[in-house]
Amino acid sequence: MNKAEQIRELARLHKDQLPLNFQFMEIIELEAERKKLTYTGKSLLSARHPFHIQVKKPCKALIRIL
Amino acid sequence: MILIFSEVNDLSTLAVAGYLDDYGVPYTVVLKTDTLRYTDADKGTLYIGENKICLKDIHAVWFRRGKFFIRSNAFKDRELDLYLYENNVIIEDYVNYKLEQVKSIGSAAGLHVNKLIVLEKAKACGLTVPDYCLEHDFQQQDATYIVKGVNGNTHFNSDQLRIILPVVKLNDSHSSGLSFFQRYTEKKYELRIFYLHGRFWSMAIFSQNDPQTTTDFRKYNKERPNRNIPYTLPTAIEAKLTCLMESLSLNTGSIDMIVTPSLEHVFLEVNPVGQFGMVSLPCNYNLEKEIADFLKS
Amino acid sequence: MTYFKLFTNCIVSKGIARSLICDLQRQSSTLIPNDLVAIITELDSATSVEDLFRQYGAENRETISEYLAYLTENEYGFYCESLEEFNRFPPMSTAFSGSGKITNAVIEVSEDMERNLGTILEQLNGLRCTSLVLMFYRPMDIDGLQSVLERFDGTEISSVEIVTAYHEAVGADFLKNLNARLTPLTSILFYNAPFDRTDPWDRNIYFDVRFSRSNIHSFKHCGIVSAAYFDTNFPKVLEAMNHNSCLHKKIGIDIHGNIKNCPAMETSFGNIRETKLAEALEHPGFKQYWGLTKDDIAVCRDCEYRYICTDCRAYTGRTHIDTGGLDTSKPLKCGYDPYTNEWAEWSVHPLRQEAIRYYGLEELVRNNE
Ligand code: SF4
Repeated sequence: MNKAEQIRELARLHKDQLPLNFQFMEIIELEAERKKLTYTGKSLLSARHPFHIQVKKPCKALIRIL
Repeated sequence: MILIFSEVNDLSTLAVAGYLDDYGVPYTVVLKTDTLRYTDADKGTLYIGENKICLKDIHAVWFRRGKFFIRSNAFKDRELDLYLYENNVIIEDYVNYKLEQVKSIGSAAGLHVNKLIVLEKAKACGLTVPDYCLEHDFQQQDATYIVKGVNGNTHFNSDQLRIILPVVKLNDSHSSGLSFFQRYTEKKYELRIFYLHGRFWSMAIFSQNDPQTTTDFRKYNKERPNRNIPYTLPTAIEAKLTCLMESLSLNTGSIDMIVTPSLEHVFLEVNPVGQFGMVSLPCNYNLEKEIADFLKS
Repeated sequence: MTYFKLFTNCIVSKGIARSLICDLQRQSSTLIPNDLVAIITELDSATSVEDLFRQYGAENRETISEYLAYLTENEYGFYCESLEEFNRFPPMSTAFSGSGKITNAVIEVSEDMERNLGTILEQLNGLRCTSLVLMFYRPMDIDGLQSVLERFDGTEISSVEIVTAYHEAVGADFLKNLNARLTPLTSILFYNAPFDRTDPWDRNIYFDVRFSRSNIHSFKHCGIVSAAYFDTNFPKVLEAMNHNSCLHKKIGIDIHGNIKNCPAMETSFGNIRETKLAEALEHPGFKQYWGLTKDDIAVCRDCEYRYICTDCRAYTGRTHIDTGGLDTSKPLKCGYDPYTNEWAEWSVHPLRQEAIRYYGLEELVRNNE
């Protein structure tokens, strides 16, 4: 039995303790989810601030040469 | 000095910090990963890793994410760890209490609210809330009911799995553990409201046109995103919400409401550390600057 | 009574002959006739739908119904059941905001400057400039590019675009090497290439790669106005409504190290050898064009595209000067006529030949033909 099935089984066994929305739960594998959501851009850690700098193009063209 | 408790990936903090930089106002960002200490030296000194800040130099605090806490090195012994934890909590509470004495946004205590208490207080303040009940057994009703987690979480992670607990519309009878049932409210649009020290910035979300998003707008439709536009709350509703926020001792938060087809305002919930970026950007409210101005002044 | 509200994040940009709905949320613009603008304006001033039909009479009933259907089907607007509801939707603020003393920079990097790039970047970072373009009018080998990009370590610059000459070694391995380190590089253009091609960024190469057969030997190539550069997005449109859409918060450094609004502008506010960028910024003339919007510019003020178009002050038609001495002429390199709604090749227009000569663009124009 894999992990997802185990959870479903537990939820079934303890039906009378768990709130009703557990009977409608969906289980997804995080790895698959993470792959789907990965931001293919990049973020860099700023030296001055404890923040990630999101690398992205500016919202307008800075030059128009072509 | 402005003290900001936040997280490394928080874009809203970054945007507010940008304005503080413009103003040349000094600020320090404390991350959840930082190691914090406190001593009474100089009438109270905070140590953030290598840095130290005297409490008397702090004129404003923003509890964006997190609060003062002591990372304890576990003894791996249940009793010892418990003792240390109980000891640390008193110090943490004390330091956070001292931090809250200056102008602040959010609070250490207000990071979590109890949904059931919130609903009772909302009713007491005169707000309309959907009928709800806590029951084991659900008998089919004339009206449509939905069931949702009482803690407001729609999912949680366990190991490599994500368990999603959807908001479900109920059509038949069910039995289960104690559950939170709420009468389904038809909506013309939803409201997402940012509250800060008595002021409101509201956004209407038009999601009804799109069957994908009728129960929860966070299930996002990228093709045809819901329309999000600025909204002005009736003053009577603002007064009731202010009453609620004050009774919950919240100086900030993000509030969810519904406007029904008959234009009634129905209160759903309040999140003390809600995202304001999702209201600020679509409505061009520039709340990042409002917050920077508030902290600076 | 029923009222109709245009979603307030859709902005009507009225042109002299036709207009545009700029949908800031969905980032797209649509042309509409000015008749429809009149109706939208009427409805927006809280005229009820019933009154509108009455005003326009029976003969226009069908047209108005069609217009309203068009607006609702495309989700440009919605019906309100009462004036009270209608009034709960205030207009969206069109103020432009954002932090940073400078947000974008364009630098022509001479070989001399390349060695001192570090100090320039440090200054730009201090002004909290986040995006910049580096123009190299020469081929750059992989080591050269890598050492340029290393200078960005520890800055908060979030986008670097590079323009450089194509050479034999540029290929898949070259790009892979360039991608090996995480840098803020977002696009690289190789001019003088044997072919024209654009490869948008993907999971393998984190920046756009463009190859062009054009020979970009100076900044005279810049300033093109074409529909391809029109862009509808929140910050862009709001900036254009309040500021000069090209020069606001921009700084340029030309090939000689002169600090300017853009490398192609005439006025210099000092040279990087002796002037700090922050000092140049304080020069009374530096920001003179920052507040000049398309509403102030001849012809453009009548154009429906004015908020999604990007201005150019370096090359203009040289026809208008305002009382403050600012050039308020239409950009030279725009071939659009808002009075006829037609596009033509800008460089052949007889009235532009003098300006073309003035800027020394004859050769460039000939090469384009
Ligand atoms: S006339 Fe040309 S430059 Fe002016 S706004 Fe219209 S398209 Fe842009």
